[in-house]
Amino acid sequence: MSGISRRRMLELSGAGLAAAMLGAGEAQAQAVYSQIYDAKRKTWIDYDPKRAMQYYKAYGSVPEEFKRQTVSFRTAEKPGTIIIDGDRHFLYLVRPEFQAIRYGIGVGRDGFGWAGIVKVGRMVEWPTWTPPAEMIARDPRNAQWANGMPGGPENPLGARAMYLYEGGKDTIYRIHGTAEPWSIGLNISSGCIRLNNDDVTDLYARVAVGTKVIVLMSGAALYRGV
Amino acid sequence: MFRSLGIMGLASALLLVAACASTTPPAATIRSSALTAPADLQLLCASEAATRLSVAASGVLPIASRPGAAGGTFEVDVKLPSGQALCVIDDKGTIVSVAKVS
Repeated sequence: MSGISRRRMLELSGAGLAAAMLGAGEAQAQAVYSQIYDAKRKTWIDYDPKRAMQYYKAYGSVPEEFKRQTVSFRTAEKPGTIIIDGDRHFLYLVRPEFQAIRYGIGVGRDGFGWAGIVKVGRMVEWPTWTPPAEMIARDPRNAQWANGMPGGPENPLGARAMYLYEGGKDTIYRIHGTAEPWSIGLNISSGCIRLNNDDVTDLYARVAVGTKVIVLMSGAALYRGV
Repeated sequence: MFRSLGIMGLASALLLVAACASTTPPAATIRSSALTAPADLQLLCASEAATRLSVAASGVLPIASRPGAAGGTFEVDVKLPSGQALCVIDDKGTIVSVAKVS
């Protein structure tokens, strides 16, 4: 457990704890988050949920950087591989000829981030969301969905979900859509990777069960002891 | 009458411009609170570390990165199956060095 403070361990639960137990991050904890330029004050300020909501309300979309786009990407990974840069809040889908499709994402909040190498083990359209017991304990309002919330626009998993597996077992992490499109670019989840519903639908159509997923995140617990 | 029509037209045009300006998002507005190496450079480092240190590529993973001491470079910490390596790569994707550190 070296590298994970007692305070952080106490904060961990559910998915975060599973990650820590499985990999004991040896890296130094370094929470990296997004900042946005305030042109009026000519300074960078934290892009937190309040500012993200204000931005989305004002412009009807997330900042340009988090919109889906094709970019150059120098990698030896095979086309079709998913690479997640949790620090910069980008998900890359590797394409041929050193290109990738880049999507903006939301990632795990402090204590819930993780890194590792996993695979897409299952894929579901308009998935049912069943909050784990730890999530119900943190927010009793989730108790009403203990037996599952049907898929739909209000469902936290959004339009599509890709369930991440390691060694043939469900990691309990997912790449999924969201009912909160303003939250892209934030450290906000319990460890899942969220995209807006248009983007997750686009990604879902381009990948298959078995797709390799590499998750990079500075100082995060390692899901497996790679 | 023509003058007042002209003023009204100008006012309408200004309102339209103002409306457009208020809904146009500013460009290049986002950055990360800490500068880390781009994901592709981190993975190039991991791949090269696996090759040079003769370990399975499936067993290595970049776990942290930061700007290097020399301009235009990044240092990438790479977790190995046993221990850790430090890789230095420049922003063009050229590996500068790889060394096992633990």
